[in-house]
Amino acid sequence: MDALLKVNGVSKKYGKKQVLDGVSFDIGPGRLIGLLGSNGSGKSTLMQIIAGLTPASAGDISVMGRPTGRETKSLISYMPDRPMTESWMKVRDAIAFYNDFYADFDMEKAREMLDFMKLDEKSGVSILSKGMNERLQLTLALSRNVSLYLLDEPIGGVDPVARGKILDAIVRFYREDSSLIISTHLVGDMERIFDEVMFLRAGRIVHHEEVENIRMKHGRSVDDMFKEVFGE
Amino acid sequence: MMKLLKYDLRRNANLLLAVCAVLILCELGMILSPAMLEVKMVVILIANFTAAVIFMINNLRVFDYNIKSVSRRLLPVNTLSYVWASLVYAILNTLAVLVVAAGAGMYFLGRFDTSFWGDALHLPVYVWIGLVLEAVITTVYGFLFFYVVIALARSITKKGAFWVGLLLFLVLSAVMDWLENLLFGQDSTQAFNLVTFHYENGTGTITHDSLTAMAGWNWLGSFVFELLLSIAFLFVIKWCVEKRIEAR
Repeated sequence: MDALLKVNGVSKKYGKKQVLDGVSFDIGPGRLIGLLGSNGSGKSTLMQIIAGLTPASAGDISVMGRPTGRETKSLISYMPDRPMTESWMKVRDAIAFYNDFYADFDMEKAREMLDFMKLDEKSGVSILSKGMNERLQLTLALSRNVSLYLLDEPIGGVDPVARGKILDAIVRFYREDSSLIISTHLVGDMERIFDEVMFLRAGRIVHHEEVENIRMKHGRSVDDMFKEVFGE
Repeated sequence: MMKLLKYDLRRNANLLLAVCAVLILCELGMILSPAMLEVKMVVILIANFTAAVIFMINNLRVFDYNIKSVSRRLLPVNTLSYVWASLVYAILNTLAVLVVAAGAGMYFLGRFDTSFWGDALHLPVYVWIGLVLEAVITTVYGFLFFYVVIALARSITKKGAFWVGLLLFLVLSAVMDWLENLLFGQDSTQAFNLVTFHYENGTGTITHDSLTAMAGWNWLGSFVFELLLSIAFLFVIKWCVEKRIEAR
């Protein structure tokens, strides 16, 4: 099966600091992948490079055979770890913004998600709580019909109730023929939804395996393995 | 590009409308006040200049935001759309200030000797073409020059981009002026030398000479030079945005 996403020898340096060091992996279609790592391991940087927001120092990335660039921005829906919306917007403006720029934006799905997330279209974005803002960002990202979704820390800094709601929304609204990469360090909360996981430590992929294998072969949960790999 | 422009205008609508409203109120206030004509004119000129400066700074911030913010950089648009959207935004704002200024201008028109404007109608066609070209190219070149400085500053550093940009601006503008002077014997500050006129108000009565136009097509070299530089700026901005600037 052709890879949906190919990451080949990607490195990134900030000054003398090596943030990513020769990261390589392939992702097939229809997969839910956890990109796991502690804070500062390079998860967000890798996501940004795949999304085409940050140039890599070395290596190359292709999505459905196309190198990252303007074209792949139409193939990827990225939810960054900070709000994509602008402070002047109301929820409906944010939806309209996405609908204006992305031909693949599904207005009907967006309305359904807003309803599910209990978001009011008339609310101002600037007055939303952290949890509600995360719900809005997720609504915007998942309402696009694309092949690859990238969610950067979608449950970072939100309360357990909002976490549950966000995870339910991911499972309910993600398209099964597409792939979804979720970066997080909150492994315990999220491992139930992953098909495979990648452990990123000090800018390198140190482990990439199917979740089922981890459970069957190693007899451990992903959370246990995460603690073993990242334990100090 | 038009969609980017639409959201740039919506994002800054409060500031733009507030500045225009204050400017109009200031002009009306001065026109209706019993102050001397010269005082009215100076105050209105200062108000218009201030509005133009606010709009200029706002435009540079709009461009800066478009090339560095995650929400804009994620959009599947051509890189140069950020430039065109900011440029049209700047031109619209400039036109808004000009329209408001023209309102006050009409008031002053009947109160000063403006008969020399009649001479303008008799200027040769090439001078008119030159003036229009110069106005367009100087405006576009000016804005692109600022944009390229911002793009380079954002490419070079993450912190202290303002100071790096200021330094780049000073160095680049000195180099460009020197180069233009070397090649054509004039720099961009002399751009409107196509037409000269003399105007005096020294003896209590206003006197003026006829408008005089520069002969020939000597000015064309400077135009072409600025046009080529503008194209070069576009390539540099595109390279900086695609290869160097990290969205935040």
